[in-house]
Amino acid sequence: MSFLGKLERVDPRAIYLLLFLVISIPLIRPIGLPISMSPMTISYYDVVEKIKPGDVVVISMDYGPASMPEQYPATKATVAHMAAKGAKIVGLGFWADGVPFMDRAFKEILGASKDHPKYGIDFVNLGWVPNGEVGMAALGKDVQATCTKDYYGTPIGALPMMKDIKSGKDFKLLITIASGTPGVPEWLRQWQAQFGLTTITALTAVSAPGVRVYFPAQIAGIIEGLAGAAEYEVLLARYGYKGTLAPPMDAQSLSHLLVIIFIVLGNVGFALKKYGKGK
Amino acid sequence: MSVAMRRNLPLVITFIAGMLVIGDYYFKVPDYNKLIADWLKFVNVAATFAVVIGMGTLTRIHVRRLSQHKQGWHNSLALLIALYGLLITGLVLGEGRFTEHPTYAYWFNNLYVPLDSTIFSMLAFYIASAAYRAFRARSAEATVLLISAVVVMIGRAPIGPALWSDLGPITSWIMAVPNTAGIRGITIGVALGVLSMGVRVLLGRERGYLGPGA
Repeated sequence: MSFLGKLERVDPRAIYLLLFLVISIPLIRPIGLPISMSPMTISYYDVVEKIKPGDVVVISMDYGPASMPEQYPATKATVAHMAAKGAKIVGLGFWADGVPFMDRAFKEILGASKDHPKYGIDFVNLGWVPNGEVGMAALGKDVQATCTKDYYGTPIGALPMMKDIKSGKDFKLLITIASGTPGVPEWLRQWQAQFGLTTITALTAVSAPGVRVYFPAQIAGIIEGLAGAAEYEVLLARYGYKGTLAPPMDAQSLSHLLVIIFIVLGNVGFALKKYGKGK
Repeated sequence: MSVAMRRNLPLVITFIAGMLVIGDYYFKVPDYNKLIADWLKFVNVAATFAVVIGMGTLTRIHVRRLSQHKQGWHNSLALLIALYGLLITGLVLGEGRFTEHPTYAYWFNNLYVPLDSTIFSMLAFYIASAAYRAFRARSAEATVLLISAVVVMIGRAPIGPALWSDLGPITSWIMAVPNTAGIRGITIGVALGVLSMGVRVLLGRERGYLGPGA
């Protein structure tokens, strides 16, 4: 095969190996590239920042283990921010395998979940709500009847902070950490449009372009993928929050650079071959 | 039940149920709104039973593949072991508390989460390879796509703005203006399509959901 042919047809195994190296090395030895700030992340931060102590916020885990590495950092950072603002947090999820991440975030940020002395007073985990969009509609109409028990099996009536929370109208803010369906459009239809609730979201990068269309009228703030979560962590540094996303962002930078180098090489080979043929 | 009745009854039920739920959005009458809230709860409970039906169908299909030793039967075996193994772990060993119980949580956190995350992470390798192969400046449109992709790819990672500070605003503009305009058009088109489909279902013009021959 000629040199031009090689430029156009690099063995995928070589790409995989190089990609593996450029992802692994910064994770082991971070470079420390500065993290810039997007207006959507700033808006997300500003919305949470406006929460007053005692405001009731619902945070929904609408993602599964597949997108956990991308979404969990945003979940943790959001819980930390809400706790710092003194919000009353109602955690739940419309993805059955996403709800355990709510429990994990409470444990990692607040030190405990159901065994925490403030559980049921300052925060609750209502667990999985089945049936997607219909479940969201039912929850919005009657929280107590839709979630009769919390994630740990405690009757909802035994949780003091749930006493006055009857419907979607009783919440101040809706946060969905989403990566698919049910996710943002369903929440917008069943909650944001119905109750006029301020809504913000953290999304996987791949689903973000489809949700940007709702910004800023219906979605007041968006964290887009790992990059957005890293930006949010930087903003939360003033609360003493210690982020973990600087090394992964270095890895992302280098991997994107590598892909671009390969795209350029492929196009150089393609152009030279085409030009050569033309001659 | 007569043929006409069998044919028309589901259409009448669909129409009434649909109109009742739509009406709830527009009319604030406490008793009526309460009725719809109860109706939605009923739908929730009914739909949950679909999980049981789904499990039954899945089991039947894979037991058949297993018993007939069809190609890939070992995948069916793995599926059945995982399905019922985790179900028994959650129900019996986990006292019905599933992820909340440490035994089930152990398997969830150490088996399911890493496996699922790994499969998703592997996409990075395939996307890198596919981008290298697919992004060729074959035409003017492909060149525009190629340039936008490269700018967004580098501009959304920290290295982009670190190399050239204007890359951040340029990336934001591509995402906020041409990208959002395109997606917004598609979204509006889809919404109109869904609306017309909804009207057709309510009026009984669209009967595909009733099964073949309806």
